[in-house]
Amino acid sequence: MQTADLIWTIVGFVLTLLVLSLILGDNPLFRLVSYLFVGLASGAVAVIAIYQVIWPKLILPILRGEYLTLIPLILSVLLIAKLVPRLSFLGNFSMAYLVGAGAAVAVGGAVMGTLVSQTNALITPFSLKTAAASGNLVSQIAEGGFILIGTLATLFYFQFSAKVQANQNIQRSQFIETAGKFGQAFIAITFGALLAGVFGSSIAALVERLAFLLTAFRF
Amino acid sequence: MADIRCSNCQTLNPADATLCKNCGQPLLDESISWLDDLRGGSESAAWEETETAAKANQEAQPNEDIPEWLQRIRQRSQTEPEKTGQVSPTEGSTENQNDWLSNVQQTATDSAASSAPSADDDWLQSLRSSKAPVGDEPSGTLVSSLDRLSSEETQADLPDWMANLEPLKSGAEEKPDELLSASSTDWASRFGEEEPPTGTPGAPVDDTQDWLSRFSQPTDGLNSEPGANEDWLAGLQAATGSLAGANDAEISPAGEETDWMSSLRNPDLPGEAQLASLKSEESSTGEKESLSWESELPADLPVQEQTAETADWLKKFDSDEPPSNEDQSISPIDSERSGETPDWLSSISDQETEQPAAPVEGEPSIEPGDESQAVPAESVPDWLKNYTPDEKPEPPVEPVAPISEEPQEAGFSWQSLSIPAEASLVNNDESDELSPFATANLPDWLNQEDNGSPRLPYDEQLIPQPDSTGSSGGQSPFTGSDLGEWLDESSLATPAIPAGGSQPATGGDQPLEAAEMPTWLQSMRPIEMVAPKQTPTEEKHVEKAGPLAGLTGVLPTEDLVGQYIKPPIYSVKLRVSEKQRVHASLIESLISDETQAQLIPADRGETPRRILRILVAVLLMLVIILPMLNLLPALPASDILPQELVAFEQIMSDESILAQGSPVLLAVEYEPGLSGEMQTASEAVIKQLSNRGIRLTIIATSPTGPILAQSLIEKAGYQSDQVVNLGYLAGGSTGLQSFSMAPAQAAPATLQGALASWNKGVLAGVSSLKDFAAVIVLTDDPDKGRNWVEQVQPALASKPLLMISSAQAAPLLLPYYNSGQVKGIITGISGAAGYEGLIQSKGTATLLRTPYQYAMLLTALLILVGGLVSSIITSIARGKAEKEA
Repeated sequence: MQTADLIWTIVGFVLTLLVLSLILGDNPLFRLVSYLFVGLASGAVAVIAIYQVIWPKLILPILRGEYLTLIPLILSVLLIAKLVPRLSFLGNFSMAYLVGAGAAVAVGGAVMGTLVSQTNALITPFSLKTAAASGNLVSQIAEGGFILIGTLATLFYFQFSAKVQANQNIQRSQFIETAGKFGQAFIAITFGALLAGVFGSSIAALVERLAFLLTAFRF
Repeated sequence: MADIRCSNCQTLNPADATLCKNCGQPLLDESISWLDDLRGGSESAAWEETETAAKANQEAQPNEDIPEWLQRIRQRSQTEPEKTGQVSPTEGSTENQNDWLSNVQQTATDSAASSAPSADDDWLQSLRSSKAPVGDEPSGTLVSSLDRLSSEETQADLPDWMANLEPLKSGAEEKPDELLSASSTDWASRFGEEEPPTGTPGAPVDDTQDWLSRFSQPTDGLNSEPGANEDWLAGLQAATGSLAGANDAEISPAGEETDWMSSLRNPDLPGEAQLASLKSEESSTGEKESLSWESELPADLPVQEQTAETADWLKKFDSDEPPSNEDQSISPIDSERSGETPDWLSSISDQETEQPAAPVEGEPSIEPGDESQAVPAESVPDWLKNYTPDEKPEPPVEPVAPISEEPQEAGFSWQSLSIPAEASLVNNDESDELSPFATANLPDWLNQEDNGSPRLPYDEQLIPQPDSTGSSGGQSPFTGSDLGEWLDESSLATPAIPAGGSQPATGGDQPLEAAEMPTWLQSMRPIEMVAPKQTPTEEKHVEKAGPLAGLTGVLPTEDLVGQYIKPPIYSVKLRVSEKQRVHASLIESLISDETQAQLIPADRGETPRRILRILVAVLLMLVIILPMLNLLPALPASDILPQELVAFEQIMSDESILAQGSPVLLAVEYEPGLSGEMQTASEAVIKQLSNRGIRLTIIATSPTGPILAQSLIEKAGYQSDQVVNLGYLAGGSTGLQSFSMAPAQAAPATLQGALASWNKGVLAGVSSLKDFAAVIVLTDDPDKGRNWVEQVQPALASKPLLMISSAQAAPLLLPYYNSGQVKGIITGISGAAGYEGLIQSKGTATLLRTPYQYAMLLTALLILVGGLVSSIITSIARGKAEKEA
């Protein structure tokens, strides 16, 4: 192991212990590691933004004579005006451009990349062609039906509109109520899976760190 | 001008004031403004002061409130002295007097029986004195009031038309004898002629403009031929004779005498006695010194010349009445002209014509007891019938020619009818009641006056216009008979002031009766006068300091206490429905919960939680470390692998997809916090790619991605010439969209700052994303994985999009695998361990799988235990709360 690796391993070991000190409660050691992490990350981001975005994509093209790049440069400068309250209006156009372009891209991607594709994915299990290709028609249809029920039940759960009847409380129809109950169950399972994934990720990090502690100085 | 006394509050107001400064009552009553002129000369009564102010206003605005006929009257009254002076320039100062004024003066003098010069030239006062009720007021009171009024008229505050009379009045004072004989207005001069009690020879009438002089000549003739007189004129003479103290025993035939004329011969006894003494003195002094003005007139002046400037209608009188004494008649109203006489007057004339004219024998003396015998009962008008003879002995009726026999002038006006009333001034009180215009023969408008019913004063039909041609137009248009009772009463209400020390013989000491406004006048008063008003107290406030000290009512002060009005109380009760009330209560309950201080529970669980937290951490560490130290047995790997994992391995192992040396795009989209998991999960894949000589192009949409990727490549032992790190791709999804369309423009440089050599080196043959053999996305964020699916996957065409995700992002990325957008997914350490198992390699993931499984098992147990304990504690606490409740 090289010296640099040893130093960085020691640093990593110490910092890992300091982070694990949170088990005893909030303490300055944990805060120190936290501030250090935030500072290093911000510095790394700034360096990367300058060397990866501003210089090669904004300044360098202008130096090369690509003056069309002045437009994003001006918009970027105007966006800095958002830091000054009096001049914040100058950055509105840049923000409008960013939000507009981002929304357009996001909406287009969501429609074509998620809604349409997921709808097709919902229909696909019921396709005899695909089912025959899989060789397990019943299971595929059953799987497709389960996914369909789960999807519809989840959508029914978020159905909050109901008919208003005289002298009666506003209540959804019984079908929607029941489907909503199923959808609620699917949502609970999904949240459980997400929580389990979060726990799994956390435990994976802990395992990796403990493994690092155990193997760091294993020469 | 004199101040105006308010009739309401008796406050003196400036002459030009229209409203009382004290009470705000109008000082001028327009409804009776036409009567103000009648009262203009007297200021004795309180109401007269008020009316003086009203008259002042009328003078200021003569054309606004004064009727036209009255204005003409005023104008004539002002111009009359001038005319008189032109007609008889030889008469000196007394000639300038108006005839009627001198007559009134003489009458007043006679009534008072005083030798002192009287300044009473007010015909109105004479009227008042004549209008005084006989039974109520003694004649002496009237005479005293006349004297008083005469003295008051010498003051400056006189109306214009009265002011014009001032010189005359002064002259009368200087020469009372001449005053009586001075040229007077014609209608009043009749009294002057009648004044001589004796049969004074008819002196030549110098002042021919006096139409009344026509009566004097017959009057003179009456002494010689008393029986030729007309009825009404006989009455005048009888009255004069009675005033002169003639023997009352002699009674001339009075059968033809009109009742109102007979009233003229019913003088008040005290006044009569004084007048008798006066007449006797005058008789002794001769004709030159007599009060009669005829004695001073030049005898050689023809009558026609004297009447040259007389009004036409008066001229007619003169023409009809021969100046000689031989003519026994006094030019009575001709029956032929009776058609021009007003109806009411004609009725009077008719009554008089029914009475036969009786010659007057000798001195006109009237015996009271004979009048009833002389006058037939059917000829007595109704109003006279109501008069009881017990009240006052009627004087003997003197035979006079009936009115109907008198030649009526074509322009005969109603003013001429005031002669008897003027004559009644001499007779003081009784003439008022016996006036022929009292009740029976009065026209309607006068009857209305008596009845108290209000009517407009400008009724042209009821009040005929004065004759413009008559010189008497300037004289008072209203005689005693036309005046209302209120006029006398008002004058009597004023304390009597003896004029010039002369006190009337009768009734001078008796108190005056309080003024009483007639009902018809009361009804004509504006409402503001009648309605009770609050006397503004602020005007009574006297300034005590400052430049306004001593002034009253300058600064308005308000009686705040009096003006305070309790503010109205408005109901603030809201009309709230039941539903609104429920909502309000709900909101109130919510707010009350927020506003109430919340009890902070004691932190009794800090230490146990800390212990619990340490205990859990220690357990997890033990569970993780013990398997690493092989202190715990390894758990068996699952034989069932996820489908996405298998699909991932199939793609990676498919040489047709990932051929040797093919370019693969690796996107590092995880954060440093999950680098341990991601590096463990991707370690096997990176080694597999490295072993297969895959040209690896690294790009990241997170700033830390390129650095972590660099660390990952170095840890995996990837050769640097096989890897190009394009660094950070800015713009998120937008950057990905741009990168998917034009990767060379979106990522022109490497992490080291050098330009990316697209289509060269590692990127040889790569100009677009579909040129990559596969795209592998390392992400711990489902959003970043979705962006790659949504923005880049469509640009990959048939090239596989693989994902290596953390355990937390896998549930949200699996649907994209089911949709076929993502061809394979490796999830966390467990997935990496499974992948290593598939590729039959033992990497870090396999080493960490057992501790990871123990840790995950312990975590699951802790969650279950924790959930059970929490539910038990909650149930126990709930049970306690229910028990306590």
